Amino acid sequence: MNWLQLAYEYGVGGLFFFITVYLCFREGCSSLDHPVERRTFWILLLGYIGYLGVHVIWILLVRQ
Amino acid sequence: MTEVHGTPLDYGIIFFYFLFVLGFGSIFGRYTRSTRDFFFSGQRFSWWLIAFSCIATVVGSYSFIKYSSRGFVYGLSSSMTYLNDWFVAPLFMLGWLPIIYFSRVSSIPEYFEKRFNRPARIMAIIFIMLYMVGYIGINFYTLGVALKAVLGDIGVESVRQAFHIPPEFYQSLGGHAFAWAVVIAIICAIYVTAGGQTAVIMTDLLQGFLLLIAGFALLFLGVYYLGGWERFWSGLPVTHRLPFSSFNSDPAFPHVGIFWQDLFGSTMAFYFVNQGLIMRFLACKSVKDGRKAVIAVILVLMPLAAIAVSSAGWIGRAMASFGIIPQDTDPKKIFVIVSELVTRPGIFGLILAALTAALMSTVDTLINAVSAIAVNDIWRPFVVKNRDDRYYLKWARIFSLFFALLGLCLVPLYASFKSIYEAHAAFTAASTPPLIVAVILGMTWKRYTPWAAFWTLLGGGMAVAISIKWPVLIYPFLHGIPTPGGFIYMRALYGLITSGAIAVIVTYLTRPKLDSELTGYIISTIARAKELFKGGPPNDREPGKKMLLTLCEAETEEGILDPKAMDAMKARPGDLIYVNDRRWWTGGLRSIHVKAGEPEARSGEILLSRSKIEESRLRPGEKVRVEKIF
Repeated sequence: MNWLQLAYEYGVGGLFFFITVYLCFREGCSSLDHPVERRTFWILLLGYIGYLGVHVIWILLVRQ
Repeated sequence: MTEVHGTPLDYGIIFFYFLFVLGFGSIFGRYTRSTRDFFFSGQRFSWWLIAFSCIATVVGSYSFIKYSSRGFVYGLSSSMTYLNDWFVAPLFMLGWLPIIYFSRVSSIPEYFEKRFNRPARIMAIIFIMLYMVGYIGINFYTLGVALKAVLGDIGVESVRQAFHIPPEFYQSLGGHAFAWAVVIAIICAIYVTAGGQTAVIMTDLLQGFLLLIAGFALLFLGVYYLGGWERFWSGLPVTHRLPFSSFNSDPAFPHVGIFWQDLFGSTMAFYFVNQGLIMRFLACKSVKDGRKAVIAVILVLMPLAAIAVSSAGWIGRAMASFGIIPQDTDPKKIFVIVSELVTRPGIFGLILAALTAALMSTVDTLINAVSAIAVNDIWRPFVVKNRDDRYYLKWARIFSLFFALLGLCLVPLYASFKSIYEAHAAFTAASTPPLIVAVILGMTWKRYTPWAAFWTLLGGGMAVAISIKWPVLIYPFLHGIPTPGGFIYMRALYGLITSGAIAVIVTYLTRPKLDSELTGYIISTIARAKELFKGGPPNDREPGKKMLLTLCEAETEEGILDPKAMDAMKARPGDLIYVNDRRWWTGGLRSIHVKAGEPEARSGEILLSRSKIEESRLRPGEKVRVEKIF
């Protein structure tokens, strides 16, 4: 019922996502000390959670 | 599929639309005075303008027909390819965008020379030019086929007869599909040649709006036709309501195959190696606006575009469930069938205009992008060096016309020889994974060497080409997808892994560049690149206010503001400031970047030199909006 696809998409895609976020902050091209870049970080995180949430709710609605 | 659809009113609307786009795009010729204007629109535009124009470019020549077809067969999971871009957003927003913006590279091949060496640049030019010129031809071909399907031969047959073109010769060119491709090629070539990137962005803005409006109009009219949302939903089988297709059991549309082919093939190629998109984001007034544009595109506009391009297929599936159309309707025809059923005269014309908009907005971007590579990577560095900018602008226009014509010449080839069409698809599959690997390792891994980049492209490309001949090599990456469909989908993963392996092996066998030569081209040096771009330390911790000031002329090279305005903007002398038309909706069309000088102006004024005012197209005495960039 799509849970495997969801896990794969947000697992493998998420791995790439979080590794690249970590890399960008570790290498200093962004810094959480900087107010604008801190906001960008939160937008990135919320975007990931938002897409994940929409897909979870979508699957749950179809199951009903 | 050659029958004529619609009414004279619909054809009138589409004819008017062609004329309007041609006139609207050509207006922006007066905003193009240099190659920087022609290729990057003077780096002046606001995020929302770039975001909408990007959506028109993303929705390509065959999107409405392709995704409606998938929506009909697989349901809501046709949206998968539009909803997975966020995974690449961090690397693009935090890494690639600031690198290309601050290092002032004008093309992907130029990045390859600066980050690696000249052989790597030449290899990148060959890969990108072959891919993009072929892609222009494919777009012309597919748009010709699409227009032929929905417009039939209205007018073109009489034109053929008027010019006494023999029917056999006409058919050998591709028939009506070629005729429609010629019409679109003429329109695009005229406005791209006149207005360059500004014309592309402005027409794509218009076309982006239109295709979203038309897609949603089709959805709402379809739901109304069916009798409401509940009836529409009940007409979709459960499998058609889910967000993802089967994981690996259906080789025609497997989730895991789409994930690798689309996300790590198409999407990454789109954001990291598509010259047209790179130029679009370089046209933003700042990196901050570029990031806002990416957020708007991926979080808001892509989901809307997914609905717009697929909706006809979803409505069609519900119609088939209720027996309105046959269950075995050809999926490729579903867009036209549903459009005709649910729309009225006039509205069908609007849908056709949206279809054409999707076609033109992709082709115009490609023509401008290929012209940029021809001028900046071939003509300027290798053929005729050290001439003034007007000379290169003239050649930019010549190349735009030339590549539009060349793309058109490929249409009869694609129409006659399916193998050429397939050869380009195979070449695209072979060239994109190595390019993606080279760009990503180039920006993230300091040790990655110039010769490793060269061999990543050449060796990676060859490895993928070999897999086309011997697909058995892809077996370890199949994820259980039945063959032969699985080979097509998982070739991207195979290409990424083989290219990555070559990159790592050659890197450890060859000598890297000195750290000092990498400034601005890898993510760990972005802060320094930003400083070099500005010519001093950035001042962007406090954004400050936007000020409404009166523009005055003075003999100064800098932008002179009054002390109170500087305080409110949290700006200091030497900061980069942006002077814009006070009306936000102009999007930066009349604007300029200047360095702030010592605050010596009278209260409420900003002083600029005559040449800067002329360049900005603002007028002395008018109110302008001024903001600090950094």
